[in-house]
Amino acid sequence: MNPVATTYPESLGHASPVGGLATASTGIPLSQEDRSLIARLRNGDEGAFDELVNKHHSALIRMALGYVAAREVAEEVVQDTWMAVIEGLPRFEGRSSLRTWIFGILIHKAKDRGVREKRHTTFSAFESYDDDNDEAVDPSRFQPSGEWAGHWAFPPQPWDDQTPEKLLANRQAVNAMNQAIDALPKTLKDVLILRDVEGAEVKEVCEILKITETNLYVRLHRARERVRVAVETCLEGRPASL
Amino acid sequence: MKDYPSQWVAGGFTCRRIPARASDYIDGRLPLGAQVRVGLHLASCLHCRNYLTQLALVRDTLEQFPPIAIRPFDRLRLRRQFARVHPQHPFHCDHV
Repeated sequence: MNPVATTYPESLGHASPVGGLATASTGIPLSQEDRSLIARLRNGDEGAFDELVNKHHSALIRMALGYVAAREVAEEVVQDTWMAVIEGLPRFEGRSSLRTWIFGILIHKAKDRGVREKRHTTFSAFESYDDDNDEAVDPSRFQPSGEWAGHWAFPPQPWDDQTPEKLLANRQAVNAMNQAIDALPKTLKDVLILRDVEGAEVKEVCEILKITETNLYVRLHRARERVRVAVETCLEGRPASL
Repeated sequence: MKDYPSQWVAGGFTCRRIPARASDYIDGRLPLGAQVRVGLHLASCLHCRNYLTQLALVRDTLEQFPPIAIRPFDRLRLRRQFARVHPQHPFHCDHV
């Protein structure tokens, strides 16, 4: 892994070459939590750095896997990202949130790495995904005609007593969810990881991915639906396609 | 609960139109009018209630998804780099 000397503009996640924190100018104000964390990081508090890594590492790895094929490469991309964060912190102005800055760096590095590896030929292949009007739910699950047209033909069955904790304790269900997430197109995966796994606010996700809120929710719903179908198949033994 | 087609008409949506609005609905983002119409449909449609319950469960489970731990060697390397670039100050300052 190369030591990171490059800095990144906050517009793409980049620290500009001025110390101190400005008022955020990209719509998401820098939170008090971010300010406090940045102060601790600049004071050399290793515990603060561990906190930062623990908080975002999972989502960074999962997102990187949307751009590069191998887990090993994703780990390297994320390691490079953290190195860039360490190097860029003194110049981070706070014109975006810390998360927006870090994920901006990741996307920049992961795209670059993905293109260099040519494992994912073009990103535009996925970008067209949002332009189609496919329904999130398989249309064959609804009655096509008659008095009950538009009603469920193959309705979802109740998942009695299921809770997130019970689902997480079910290894097969977790594997099914992981596989469904891995199989998502990059544009859907980015949104699902940032919003549902990482817990970023809607505006923050839009800022990181440069998309509108409407677009975000179209993608988010399609991603959630694919994961839901994976869980449904796992719990009910329903074939993936009816 | 039994489904009554006439009530879907009152709600304005058939089941097929619910999924496109489901994530907005469970995240409380639908405009009031659409929220009422979806709510009216759900009141008489067990299947769509099941669908939304499942979708919300998936969302809530993802929030608690098991973390991917950083590899120990990677963490060590990052700590070293952090300590090199940001040597610890003797007095911490919480304000920037």
